[in-house]
Amino acid sequence: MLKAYHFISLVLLSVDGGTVAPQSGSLGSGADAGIADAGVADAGIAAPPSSAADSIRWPENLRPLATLDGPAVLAANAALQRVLSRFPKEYAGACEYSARSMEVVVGQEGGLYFVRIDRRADRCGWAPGFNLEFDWFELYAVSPEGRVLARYPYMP
Amino acid sequence: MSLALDLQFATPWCRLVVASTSTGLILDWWATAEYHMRGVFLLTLTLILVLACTNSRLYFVDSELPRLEGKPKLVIAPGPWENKDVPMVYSDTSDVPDDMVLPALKALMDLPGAADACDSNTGRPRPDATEYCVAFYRTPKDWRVSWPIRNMTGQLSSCNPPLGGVEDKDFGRDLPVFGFAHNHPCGTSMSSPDLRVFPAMKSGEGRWMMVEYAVASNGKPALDSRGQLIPAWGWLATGHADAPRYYKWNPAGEVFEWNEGKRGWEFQATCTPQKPSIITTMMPPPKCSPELN
Repeated sequence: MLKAYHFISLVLLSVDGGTVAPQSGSLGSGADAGIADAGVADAGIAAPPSSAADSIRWPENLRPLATLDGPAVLAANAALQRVLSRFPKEYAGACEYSARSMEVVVGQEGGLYFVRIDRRADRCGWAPGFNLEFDWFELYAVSPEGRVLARYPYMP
Repeated sequence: MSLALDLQFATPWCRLVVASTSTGLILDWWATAEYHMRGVFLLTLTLILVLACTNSRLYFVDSELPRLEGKPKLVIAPGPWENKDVPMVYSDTSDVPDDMVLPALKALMDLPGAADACDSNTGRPRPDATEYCVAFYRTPKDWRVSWPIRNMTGQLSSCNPPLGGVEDKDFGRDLPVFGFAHNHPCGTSMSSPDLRVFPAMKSGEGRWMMVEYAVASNGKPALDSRGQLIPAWGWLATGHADAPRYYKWNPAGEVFEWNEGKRGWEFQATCTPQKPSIITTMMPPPKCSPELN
């Protein structure tokens, strides 16, 4: 039997779920932002939980490796794949969302590899000296076996 | 879809109403109320919710927006931002009017997770810390702000400025963009990359490029009364919600900070972006002369 609180919940859900997205013309994908959020979340591997990041001793002044040994290459590849997997799948094929526009910097400290992925829009035909986004920052802690342990939780 | 997820898009008013209707007090009353009173209650509740939650969108998520020519980086922002605190401003100046910029920067700081979103003990961002981007643009009639764009929830990541321009609900596309504004949820000053994000356009050869002046995505620049190009700017809302700091900078790296007491922008320094030479947990700040506080 439908109880009172069930009914109230239904009213709440139906009203809020119907919030109209004020889109116009060709912008009208019709997708509610909430749906978009849920549906187009991480395109692949989920980011490690922040508790994993808390247990890492992140470097404060680490010089990048000039020569990459085998584990460093594994680490670089793992971090790069992690970054690419965070992009929506439909962007695959676009230069700005491919390995072509990424630069990988690797350092080693405390038995771990730390990999920063920089973005190079100029590799995709954009003029040097410009950035296509604010505050891009991707830093990963990777084991010598090439397992991504954590992404640094950065916000400016 | 959960109610909690939807409510991220609701205004504080709407959230308050929804929260209040969920209290046990109302349920207790319901159990003992007369039948016709329940009907009156439901009707009133529905009306209040419709009023409180209609047009309650606060921002757009990057992934739900169209792209110019299908290029993922060329996000098109809808406009104008339908926010009662962000005005459309009539002005015949060639520069973006502060009467619009300041309310927009303030409104950016008021968005969910936009300010004070770092743990004061660890310095780490909370999961809801969010960066939002907007574009300032001009229509044939007035100056406007685009809707804020953020990345997907649950991911700490930067926002994508609408490099594909704006689609205004009254004037359509091909409107000149004068620059982008964004917020820093953990209160830091401009980062090095921030200083080099300006409007994009399609060149005559069909190549996409970023330029240092106000321009529509079709390559048509905005001109001042003397027929000259108008420099683009970048804007930043940062600091704390109760003590915000607003910055703007031009392509030459000249950084200004808003002085609320004097109601004007004050020159701070000339800054040059720095590239990271070491691996650390932050982007290197720009090199500024004189040094920024």
